[in-house]
Amino acid sequence: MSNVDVRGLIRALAGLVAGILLAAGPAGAQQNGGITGVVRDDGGLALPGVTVEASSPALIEKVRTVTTDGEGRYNVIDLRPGTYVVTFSLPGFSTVRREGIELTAGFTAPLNVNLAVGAITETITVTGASPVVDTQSIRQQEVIGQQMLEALPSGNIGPQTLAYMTPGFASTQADVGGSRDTWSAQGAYTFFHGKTGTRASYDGFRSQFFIGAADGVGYVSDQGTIQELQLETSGMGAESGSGSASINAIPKTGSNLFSTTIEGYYSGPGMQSSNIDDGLRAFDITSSAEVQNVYRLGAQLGGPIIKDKVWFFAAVARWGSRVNQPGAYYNKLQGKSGIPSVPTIAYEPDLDRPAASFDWFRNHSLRTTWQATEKHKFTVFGDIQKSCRCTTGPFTGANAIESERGWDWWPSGVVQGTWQAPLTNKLLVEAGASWQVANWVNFAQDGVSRDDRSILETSTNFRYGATTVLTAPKARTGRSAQRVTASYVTGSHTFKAGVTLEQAFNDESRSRNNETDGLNYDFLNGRPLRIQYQAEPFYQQERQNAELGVFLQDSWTLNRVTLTAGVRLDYVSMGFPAAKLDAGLFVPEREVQELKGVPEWTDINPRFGVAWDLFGNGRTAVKASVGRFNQLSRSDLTRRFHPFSSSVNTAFRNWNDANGNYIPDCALANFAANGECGAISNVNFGKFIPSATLFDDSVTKDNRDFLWDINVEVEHQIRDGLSVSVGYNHNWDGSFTVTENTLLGPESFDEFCITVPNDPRLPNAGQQQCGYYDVKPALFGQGQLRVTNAKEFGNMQRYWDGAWVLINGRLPKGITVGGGVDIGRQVDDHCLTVDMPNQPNNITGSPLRGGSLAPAANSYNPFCRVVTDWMDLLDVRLRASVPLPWNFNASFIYRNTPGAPQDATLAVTSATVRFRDPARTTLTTAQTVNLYAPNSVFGDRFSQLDVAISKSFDIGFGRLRTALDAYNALNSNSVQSVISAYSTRWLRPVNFLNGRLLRLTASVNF
Amino acid sequence: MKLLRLVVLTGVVASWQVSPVMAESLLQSATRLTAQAARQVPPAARAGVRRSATAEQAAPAESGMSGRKKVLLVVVGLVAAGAGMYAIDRSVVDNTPSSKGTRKD
Repeated sequence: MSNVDVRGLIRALAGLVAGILLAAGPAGAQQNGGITGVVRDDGGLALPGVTVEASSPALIEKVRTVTTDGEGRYNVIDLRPGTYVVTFSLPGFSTVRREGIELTAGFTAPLNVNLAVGAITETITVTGASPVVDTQSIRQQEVIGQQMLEALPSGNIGPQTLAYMTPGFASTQADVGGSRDTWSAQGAYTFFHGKTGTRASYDGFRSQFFIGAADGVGYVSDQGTIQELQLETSGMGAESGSGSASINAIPKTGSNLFSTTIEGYYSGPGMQSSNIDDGLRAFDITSSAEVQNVYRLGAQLGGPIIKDKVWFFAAVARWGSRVNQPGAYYNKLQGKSGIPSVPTIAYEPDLDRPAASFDWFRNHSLRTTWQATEKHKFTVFGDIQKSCRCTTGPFTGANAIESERGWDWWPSGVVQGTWQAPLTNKLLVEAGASWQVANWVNFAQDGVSRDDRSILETSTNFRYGATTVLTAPKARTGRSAQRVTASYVTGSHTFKAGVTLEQAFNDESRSRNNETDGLNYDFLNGRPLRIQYQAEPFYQQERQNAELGVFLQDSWTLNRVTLTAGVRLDYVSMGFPAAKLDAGLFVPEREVQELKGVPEWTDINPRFGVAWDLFGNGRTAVKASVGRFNQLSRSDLTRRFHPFSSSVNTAFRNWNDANGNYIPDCALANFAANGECGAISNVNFGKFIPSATLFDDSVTKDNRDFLWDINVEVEHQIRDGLSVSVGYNHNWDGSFTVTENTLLGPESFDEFCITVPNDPRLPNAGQQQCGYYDVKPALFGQGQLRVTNAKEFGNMQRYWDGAWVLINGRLPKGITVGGGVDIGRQVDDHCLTVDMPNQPNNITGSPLRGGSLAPAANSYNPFCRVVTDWMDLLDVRLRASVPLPWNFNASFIYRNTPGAPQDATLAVTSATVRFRDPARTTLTTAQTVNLYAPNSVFGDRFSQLDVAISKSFDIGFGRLRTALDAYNALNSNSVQSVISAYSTRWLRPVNFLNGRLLRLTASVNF
Repeated sequence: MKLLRLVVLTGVVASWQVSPVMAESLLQSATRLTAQAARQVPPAARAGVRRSATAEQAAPAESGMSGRKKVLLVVVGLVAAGAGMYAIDRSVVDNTPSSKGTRKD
């Protein structure tokens, strides 16, 4: 192809991309690195016009060139991670060549040089430690590169890996060497410093599914394609879209050298220790997790197709796990009731059939990089995958495996493309687009027939029989994104402007396992208690028609101070298409027309910051930033407005199984009390009432949830290659919504008291505790819901104060260290009365509970202000890698984090409560109440030590690396969650750390 | 097993077909690597790193091996990996509706 043709093609492509982008919208670009500084002569005078060239094998264009401005400043931006050589040349002066500048993602290396008078042909090579303190950026960030990812016992590497090592991320379910199912493990990064919703991206494009809260993982990446992981926790600039923190995986590319890697790991039976002790035995937990297999086999091939012109990087991988879960067994009584309509009515563990979590993944990706001309570079990436999360993941006997469900992903994948063009030495333009899709459905577990029902034993919160709900037979979600940014860089200014745009969709049906009537049952002590209804058929579609971001930002360096000011306009518009559902057993035919602009929000989000190179030597920086961020865009923002959802889709009725036949002997479609069945819990169930829930304009037009984040940090280089940072963070949420039942008010409820069980572990043990409410019987089931801003009723708050000390870098002898201590305090306050005194419902109509560190228990409580104290949130995480003689290397990751919340809820019935009004003696239905404030009591601290010993061999034609990893080397059984329902099983661990796991890793690189 | 044999055979045949071009390229890469290694930054210059080590470009070692052998090595390695993945695919329990053909979407 001739140059003319290439340029023509480029123009056409650029025009197409720009047209799409300018017509529509955005996304957050990945943060590449940069090199900046001042060039002076030996007398200290600034030198304008110096040619500065940054070159690296990481650049397909080989070199990037800028010149110094009138103040001698230069600024090279948007450099891929890698090792750089920078040369400075000016006629009349000797050329200076600075080598070994190591750039990680998002790091701007300060580099000042002096040029001596001499011949330009005379080159002075300067070597020295690479800078480690970014004196210009206000971001607080962590980066971990391929070498450390390889050296550390990183388990199954994904976006969660960096969160796992970073103090301040809320404890989530830990992974021991990849024994946790990948999909759950890769999504373990949701909360940082109390902030909800971390944005996860792959190559700068958001990779999370547009489903529900959309804060977990979506595109499951192959670790063999990841070169670096970058985490931004605060101080993010105007280019950052919705989300309170950001994790980005920076992919590998090819290079001018062919490189092949074949790698894998394995752990199997006999390679895991039991960590059962008396504490667990006291809860009748007699078996720990037993790995059947944890495996991976990956191959990557990269190199030039045309030298300096076209690179490729291909990767294929298989990985998965099968892990018997502690105390989890198949149900010996599954399908054995002899009652056709309820094949399973009880659970008895079949000790000969342990239940396992089980998943596998198949990825196939290809990236090509094309340096079309000197100034135009394109990349295209695609990955197609088939995956199975064949059981839900760790369930640890908290529920029967029959109540879990599987996920079938096929076909799924992602396609991405970018264009980069340093049009001049000062102007750089970048654009890109991404398309991601997942076709997925749930399926029932082995042994579950489609007659089975999900049964909840309310006294212990134990579910068995079948899963609560299946997302089937249809489920499909996707996301597309476009972005274009332009950077204009002078020595002192880095001006950046851009547009990002995202569209997304989610289509999913929901069905109960029982195909006859779709009813689930609640039991109390093995006897029928309630019938749980669901409106079927159900199929809902959500659309994010546009999430548009337009931003402007300038960083201005004045002597030693860099001021950054930016503003971002965030616009989001969602809705749903027209749809029609057939009538079901309990619901009529339903139909909705297409609707857009629900919600439709526009926000202006300012971001400011200052970075001060305190002594002008690039070793100490003082940074401060303040910014406003919208919470992650997600499908539940519009789901709540969809008439199919805002109608009453679930309800229950009490069931007195007087004849003990486990069959509700009543007219199920007659919602008035009849036969063995009580009245329906919501009179609107069984009707299609799009207006059953009304939304104020304050919610649909003005009420996007947001976050303010303030950060102050001092970062200091304490020796070559090693820095320490000390900082303080304050953040708070705004725009809370609540659901009001317009037919009810505080006077509609009667207060009742309970007797706290006489257990010394409980506050107020044996005493009466009041402040609980039940609706008056005459108003039971009455509802006209209205969603509005919480400000209408009072001041709702969620805020965090915290501080940290972090260390990062290298010690002598090549020892690498990282980590630190993070401590914080969070306050959740929802003490306002909407309907029930001091106990408002959130936007989905569920009771607010306070505290955001654990899954919500759907229970009311009088504890509306929850303060999670400093020591309860103390978080210590350390990591190190130590080179040893004979090509051995030792490394570890240690985490000591807050213990699991130990909440206590109690199922109460009329017999166990006392109303303040003596005339009233019965509850409208059994209730679950909190015995004390959730998230206020924590168990023993969580502790995990992972270690790895590796050795590299020169095998003549390449390098062989072998490693023995010991995950949870101390064989801790730290508890990660417990049963909160007060019973004999109260505080029984639901999840505890898997026992010590040995894993063999090997890679051949040639 | 027939498919496995086919994969191996295809890989071997393919290696002979592409070897002259790829061998030359690999030889150039090795030569370049040697030259670059000679210019490598002294250890002292590599002391500094921001919060982590930067990824290094993976590179074949200088072995003196002929280009054809290197290509063969790459092909054999990739074919072996492919065979391993095929074996994994065959042995893993696949109870997904998509594989069973029972999906209704």
